[in-house]
Amino acid sequence: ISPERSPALGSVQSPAPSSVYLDYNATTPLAPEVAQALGEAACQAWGNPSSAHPAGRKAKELIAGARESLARMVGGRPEDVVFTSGGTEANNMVIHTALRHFRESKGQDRGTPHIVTSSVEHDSIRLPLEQLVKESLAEATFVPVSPRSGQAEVDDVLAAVRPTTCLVSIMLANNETGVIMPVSKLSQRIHALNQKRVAEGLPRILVHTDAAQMIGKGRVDVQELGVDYLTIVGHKFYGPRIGALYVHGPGTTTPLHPMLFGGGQERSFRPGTENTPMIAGLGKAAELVSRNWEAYEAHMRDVRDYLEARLEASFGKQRLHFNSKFTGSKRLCNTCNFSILGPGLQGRRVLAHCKTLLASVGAACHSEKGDRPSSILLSCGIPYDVAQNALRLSVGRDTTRADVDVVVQDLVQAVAQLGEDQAS
Amino acid sequence: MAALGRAGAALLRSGRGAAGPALGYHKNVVDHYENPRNVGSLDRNAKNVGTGLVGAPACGDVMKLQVEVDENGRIVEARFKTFGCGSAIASSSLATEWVKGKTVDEALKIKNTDIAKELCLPPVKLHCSMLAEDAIKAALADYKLKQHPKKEESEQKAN
Repeated sequence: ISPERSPALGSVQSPAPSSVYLDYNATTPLAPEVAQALGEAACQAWGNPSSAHPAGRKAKELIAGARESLARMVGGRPEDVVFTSGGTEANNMVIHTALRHFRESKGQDRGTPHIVTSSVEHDSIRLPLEQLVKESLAEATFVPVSPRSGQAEVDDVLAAVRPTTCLVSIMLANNETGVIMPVSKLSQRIHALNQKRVAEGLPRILVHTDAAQMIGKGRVDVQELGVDYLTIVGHKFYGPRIGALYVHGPGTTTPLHPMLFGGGQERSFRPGTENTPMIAGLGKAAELVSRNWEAYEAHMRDVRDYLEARLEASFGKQRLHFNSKFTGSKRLCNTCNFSILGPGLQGRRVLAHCKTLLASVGAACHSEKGDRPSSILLSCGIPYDVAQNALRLSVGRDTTRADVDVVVQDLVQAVAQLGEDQAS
Repeated sequence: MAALGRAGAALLRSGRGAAGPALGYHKNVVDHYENPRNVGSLDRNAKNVGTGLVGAPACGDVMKLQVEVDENGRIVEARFKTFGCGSAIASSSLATEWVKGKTVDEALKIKNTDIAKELCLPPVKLHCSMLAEDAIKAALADYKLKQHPKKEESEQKAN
């Protein structure tokens, strides 16, 4: 075919996307079904769920349905689900409960309650604990993750347990590296330990996991995990910006102490007139996950693996370091944390020079930190200059291999551009 | 789900769109597009035919690739049908050309990078060659499964 005709062929091709979003660990858009459920509830079920009349009852039914969806998603019962404003609130509730429970347990002067967690937790676990330590209301141990596996090893966590320990909280999957923590094994060991402790008159150790990043990307089953509490975050699985806390038998088997006091909603565990539209949306998002998580996981893993293969092919093994690949641990199906080695290639600089790629260098809530590398990567044993260049790409349910090709091309041109700028 | 034939190519040549980009498809891709090899179907119920179906309409790329293998384990016939862009059509067309005459094990060695190189695919179209490699593997896996159905089952149970 002659060159003059090529433009005609070229114009039939669909245009390259103006941007490719690969920051799904930061947040996800609402799934269309979720937006629809949310919108319908907002327009048609706006009554106060506590009202006796039909307008209220309609809202109450939607909420009950959503509660069942959430319970089914994590393998628990509806009565185990408490809706909250999000993951931050749910995490704070767990810490608050653990402390209250310790103080109110029988037995005189047990001392200061102690909490064990990992060094790579989300701020909504780390900062409340740091604040409590500052106010001398609690003691905390931040168990460092193993530089070999990127995990908080079970033995290390158990070694940190003291007679005064009342809570162990380890996230299910890390948002920056994607490493999945051994929560099942950990809770098995803690349950065994609890039996001995109860016999010795020591406080029970409650077990919590923040499952924000794992839901919709892998199996999440509270029976399997054996946890007392599990945090659910809507905006990570194509749901709205609220969350829920799973509690194994709240108020009966497992303590749950409210932080707010008011109108009695959520069985007084979390009062406040319910946000029906958001709850309806969250229920729909949970339904989608229950039905499709295996397909989602398979697809995202396929696209992520293709991304890593293309990155390696484009930059070469020598120039690339994958910060999310550790031996001996599993990782999220969608996360790719890597550094392009070399001077002047700090993650933020590379992203600033990208024309289509939308991604981050780590947790979104830390994006104003300038050029300082992620403390999470540093605590996984990644060298400082490598961690500085880190980029976190996280694919989504709709990301295609075609998107990956566009993004890799964009990164290649960004790095080439930066190379020229360095040289000049 | 078929490679566009001459009619389609003629439609495209009729000057749709004025100023397009100066870059065009490589002549190797255009050749497969205008003169596709091995478009069609084989009898998927035949014992010596392996069928691979990969991709998803939502992603804009679906490829069906079929191989017919003789009693010596050599691929004697291959057919493809592809829903996708010119690069996807060319990749799968080339794949059918390359598998013919090879043994099953030789065909499994075909890499997407070879296909991409032969067609001079631009970076944004490399995923098309990847899908073609997946299609070859899927077709051969299906063929193998048909030869030893019980063996595959017990292997899978052992996993």
